[in-house]
Amino acid sequence: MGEEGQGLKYVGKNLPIHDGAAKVRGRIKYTGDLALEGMLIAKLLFSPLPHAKILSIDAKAALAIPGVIGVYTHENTPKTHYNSQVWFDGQEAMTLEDERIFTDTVRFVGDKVAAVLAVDERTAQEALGLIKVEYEALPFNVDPEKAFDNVVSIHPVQEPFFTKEFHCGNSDEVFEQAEIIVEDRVETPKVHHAAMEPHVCIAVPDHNGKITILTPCQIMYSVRLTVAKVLGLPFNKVRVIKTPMGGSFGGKQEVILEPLCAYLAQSSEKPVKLELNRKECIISTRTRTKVIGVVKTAVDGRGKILARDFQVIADTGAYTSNGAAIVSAMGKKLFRLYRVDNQRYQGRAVHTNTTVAGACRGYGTPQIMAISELNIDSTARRLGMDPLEFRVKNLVQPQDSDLSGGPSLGDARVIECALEGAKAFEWSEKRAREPLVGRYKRGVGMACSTHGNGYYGAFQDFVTMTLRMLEDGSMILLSGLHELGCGTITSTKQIIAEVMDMDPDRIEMSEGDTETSPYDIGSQASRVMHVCGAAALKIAQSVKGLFRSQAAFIFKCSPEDVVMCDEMTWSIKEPDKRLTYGEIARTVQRQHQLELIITETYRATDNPGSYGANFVEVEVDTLTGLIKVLDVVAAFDVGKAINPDFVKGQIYGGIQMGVGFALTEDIKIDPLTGIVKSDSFANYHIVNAPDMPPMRVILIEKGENDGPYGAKSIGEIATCAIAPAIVSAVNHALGTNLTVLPLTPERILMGLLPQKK
Amino acid sequence: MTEYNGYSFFGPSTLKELLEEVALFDGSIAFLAGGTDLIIELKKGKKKPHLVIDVSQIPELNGVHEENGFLHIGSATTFSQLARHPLIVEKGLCLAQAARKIGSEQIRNRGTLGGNIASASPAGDCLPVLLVLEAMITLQNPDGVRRLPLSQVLQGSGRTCLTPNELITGIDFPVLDGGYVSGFEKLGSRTAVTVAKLNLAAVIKVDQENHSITEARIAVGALGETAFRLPDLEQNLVGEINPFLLHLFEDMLTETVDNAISGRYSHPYKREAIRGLAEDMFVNLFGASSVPGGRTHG
Ligand SMILES: Cc1cc2nc3c(=O)[nH]c(=O)nc-3n(C[C@H](O)[C@H](O)[C@H](O)COP(=O)(O)OP(=O)(O)OC[C@H]3O[C@@H](n4cnc5c(N)ncnc54)[C@H](O)[C@@H]3O)c2cc1C
Repeated sequence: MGEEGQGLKYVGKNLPIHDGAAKVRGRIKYTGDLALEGMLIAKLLFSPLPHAKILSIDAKAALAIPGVIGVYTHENTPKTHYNSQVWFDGQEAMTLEDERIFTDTVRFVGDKVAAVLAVDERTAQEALGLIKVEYEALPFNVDPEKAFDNVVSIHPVQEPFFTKEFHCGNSDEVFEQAEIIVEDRVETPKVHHAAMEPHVCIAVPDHNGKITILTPCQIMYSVRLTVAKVLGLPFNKVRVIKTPMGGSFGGKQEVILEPLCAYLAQSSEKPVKLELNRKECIISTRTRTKVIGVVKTAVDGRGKILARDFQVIADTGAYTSNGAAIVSAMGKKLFRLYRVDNQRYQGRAVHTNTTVAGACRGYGTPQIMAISELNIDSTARRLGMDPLEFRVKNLVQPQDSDLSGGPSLGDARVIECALEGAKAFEWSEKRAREPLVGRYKRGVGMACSTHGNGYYGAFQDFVTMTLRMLEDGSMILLSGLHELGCGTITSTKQIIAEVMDMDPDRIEMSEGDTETSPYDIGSQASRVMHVCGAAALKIAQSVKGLFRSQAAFIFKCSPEDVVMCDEMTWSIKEPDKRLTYGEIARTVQRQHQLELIITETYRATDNPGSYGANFVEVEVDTLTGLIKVLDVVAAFDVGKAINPDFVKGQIYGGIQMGVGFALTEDIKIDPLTGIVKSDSFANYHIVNAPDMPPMRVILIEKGENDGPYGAKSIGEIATCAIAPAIVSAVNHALGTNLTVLPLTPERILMGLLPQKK
Repeated sequence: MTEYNGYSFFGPSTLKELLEEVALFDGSIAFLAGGTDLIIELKKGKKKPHLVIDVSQIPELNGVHEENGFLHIGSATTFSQLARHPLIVEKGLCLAQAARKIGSEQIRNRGTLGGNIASASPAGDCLPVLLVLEAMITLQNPDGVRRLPLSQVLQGSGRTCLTPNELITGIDFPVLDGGYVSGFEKLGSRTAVTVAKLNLAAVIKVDQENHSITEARIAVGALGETAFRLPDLEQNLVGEINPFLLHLFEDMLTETVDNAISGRYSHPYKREAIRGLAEDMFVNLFGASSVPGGRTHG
């Protein structure tokens, strides 16, 4: 979908991000930087035990400290249950509501036990140390596979608490007859989102019982919903303002701190700030879901996939969160990458006494792609086939349908990604190279991926926007957009600027505020550019239509004759009589008493797949087990890059997260104590600049979908193929079949031991 | 003196001023050099001094000079300075190499050699280096000065022999003349900004004519409470340089790991990985041709 006539002025151009300069200069106020008059500070006490009943909490000593306003526990806060993932009213029926502001039974090390509210942070911190909690330890379990025994009961439900099956054809029959079946067991870790900005929010009560919440969130209406529910307020008494985002990656998608912070503000009648530190973010907020998958593939001798079977366990941690949703999300992707006539996916979700899992860039896709792609790799190995050739034989093609019943794949150009990427990488040449002798081994690997573009086909996916032109010709878009730092605002400006033919800097866009923004379901599901971008395009076209019909009045011509160019407009019949956009807007106001303003709702009309193929070369030090990623080629079918530099930025960042997922990142939990061992950046290593490989990006831009100018998502898919590509390269280098992520030096050396003997 | 965050702060500009204040002050004192360890401990509340004294602005505690065959280093000299100081590069190269591998550029710009010693981390990168350089540490308090070998200063993980009002003023060691080669190698979980899982320092005297090693000093870190020298290994290295030397070096290092940390979680990994450090050290000291197959690494 786009403007007729090519030769784009703003779309496809590399405009800088709108607030980049201000961020670099430190001029943006993040939520943590804000200090409101009379603001109190809350600090949290976290459980030291993985599972225990709270017998008593003695807060006398804490309350005796001057400056302490209150101590809050399960005894004096609302007992309402909720699920932090729920983003629309009614969704709670599809899942379990097992969280409370404070619990009387702690379920993981890091569970919230109490809050101190005080005049400043130091006082709150000091008081925190004086709270005495008496626990009765309960048996605990941190192993998702053991959860199936139902020996430890974390919630009053049987484990697995959720099972989802998708299938097509008859895989059982095919497996019975198949000659070649390749099976793998793949494990992916819990990881930390590692946003620079920690979790933080501020709640401000007013004199009329309204609570305003300032929060760097991804779904403001989800925050409103849960806060209103917990506080027992009508929706219009909870105002959520999305503040500048200092990084989220899904970590701030769920409603974590806001209900408590809002309650503290309500009960103290003062503004309250609640901010976590790094350790608290790691152990007590959300993680990427740990997943264990057993996958079987049946193939014929020529390399055609006959059937696949996936048995997948998702460890959602101590509270349900998105445990059910992610199991479904993972399964759906499997029917959108390879042409497999007979396929079954069975996903099950369990609770463990570990940090709660939640949304994390890719929403299960990096995990399920690791499972699927590593098995594709070992199947190719078994067949003695080149993994590229094997993939190309089986990958989906444009306009294929989703055999599990999902929306059409659209113009699915994954084969093009694979072939173009392979060419740039010199795949065949590198694959055919003689192996190095000696200490250092080199290998190359690849992986493919798909991800979605919104909720069409699953949930309601629509957005309302208001666009107006002011009397000087500048414009304002009112919407519920949430800029997460990816360039949403600038890209949307580029789209509107393209339609209106005006400088993007002349368009203002506020971000989400539940009191003034129209409804938007938020920055989730890789929907923003494809769906909200399309909404912006449509509404710009509507305003343009209104503008033209009004200008036609003024020029006394027909609307088709009105030309708009660089904020100047004229009739094609009288090219010498030119007016600025502002002059039209002013004249229309004076003469017709009309504002150039339109409010419109856009409903998503498709959900094509975004696609990618990543190629990686690694060098493995067989003595120390350290791995160096030497080269990456990343090809993505993004439909159309509205701003190519932003798209590349997403890919570079996605690769950085994926290298960590493959090699270093792991929220390690001590099985004896339930304590997170990697609780700081000193022992939780994300990949830093010296270890980043050079990256070459190839964009396939063939449009052909309902996104603005054909744009499809990139933010999440950018991190979905890189980890299996790296692992596959390591296995190629070493002749191993390592399938437990991350590939730490320890795992590499242990994996090599059989060869050394 | 300014009041700041629960403790008082004092920033003297001479050693004399510092010692006078220390003599007068009644309460616990923490010396602040680069602050790359101390600030973290203060923030976490692990240390609660009444007075913090900044030692970084005292000229006597800064810089490197050579005197009577010894290199003298002020305790507040930063890693960035050490990494590129011509005297260190020429006459104590392993220390420059260790300094280059510490933390990040920002940490190297702040962190100091004295702080590395006083922190006494089992993984402190300069500690095995100072052991093989046979460094002496000069300590001073208002009552006097003492000069001790590093092995006596280090008492365990995070523990030293320093008395509460004593500071490290300087470090000195005999210069390595042309007959010596020295090196430092480190293994962490990534290339940069990483705590050592293993570190290794060596000073070797080579008799080029007879193609032999006449003196060897080797120390390892991150294998116990403090870094330590390996006297048996050192003796075994002395003698003619032969093709089996690397293998011997590797085997003895693996044995060192076995003796130091058997039964620990990290033991199976470290006993293998230290062989990689051994190779790296040979390449560092004797060039790529000293290891089998040369070095194919980019
Ligand atoms: C991100 C990061 C990365 C790091 N990487 C490494 C690394 O790779 N290798 C490594 O070895 N270390 C590393 N460290 C630890 C630290 O940088 C070093 O230990 C450094 O040498 C400490 O020196 P400093 O001058 O900053 O000491 P400070 O923090 O100022 O002091 C540390 C301790 O020594 C005491 N002290 C300081 N100077 C004196 C003195 N003159 N006399 C008596 N006591 C004194 C202080 O009271 C304090 O107890 C890292 C730290 C960080 C934060």
